Amino acid sequence: MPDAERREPEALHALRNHLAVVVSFAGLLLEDLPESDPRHGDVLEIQNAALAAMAVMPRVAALAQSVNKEIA
Amino acid sequence: MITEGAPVVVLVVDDEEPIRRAARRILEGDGYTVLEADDGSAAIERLIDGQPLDLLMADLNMPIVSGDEMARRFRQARPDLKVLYVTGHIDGLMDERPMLWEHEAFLEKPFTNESLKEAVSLLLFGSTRRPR
Repeated sequence: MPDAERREPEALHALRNHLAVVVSFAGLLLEDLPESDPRHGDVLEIQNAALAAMAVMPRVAALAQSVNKEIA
Repeated sequence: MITEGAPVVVLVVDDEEPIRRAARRILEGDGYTVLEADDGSAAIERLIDGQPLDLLMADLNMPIVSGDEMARRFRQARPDLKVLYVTGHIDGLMDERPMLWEHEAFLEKPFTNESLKEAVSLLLFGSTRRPR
C-alpha cells in the first residue's frame, strides 16, 4: 500500500479523536452552564462547529482518496 | 447480570487519554463506576485479575491489540458481557462483522454525551434512560 494511502486513514482517525474530545468536553461544560449564562451560547457554538466539522469528514476522506489515486 | 444496588462497572478502553477522561466524566455523572485501560492488553490484564465488569466500551482502532480482538477475548471468558464498540469507521466494522453478536452495539465517534449515556443504558438496561 502506498504511504500516502496508508497515512490518510491515520490522519482522519487522529482528526476524529480530536473532534471527539472537543464535542465531549463542550458537552460537559454545557451541563454545568445554565442557559442564562452567556458562556452557554459560546460553548454551544464550539460544540456545533465540531459536529459540523465531523459532517465534512466524509468529503475530506473522498478528496484524500482521489488525490492518493492521482499520486499512484 | 446486574445486581440491584451494586455498582455498575464500565471499562473504558481507548488509547487516547482525553477520550477516556471524557467518557469517565460522562458515565460517572450518570452513576456508573468507571475503570480505564489505555490498550487492549492492559484491558485483558483486568479481565485476568477477575475484576467485576458489566460493560466493555472498546475503541476499535487501537495499536497492539485491536478493539475487536480484545472484545473477542473478553467474550470468550465472559459470554454475557455487554460490549459497546466506539468507532469512526463503522463501515470497517461492518465489513469484518456484518452482524453484531447479542449484547453488542456500536457508537460512532465523536459521540455526544447524551448518545454515550443512552447507548450504555440501552445495552445494560434495555432503556435509553438508566433506571433510578
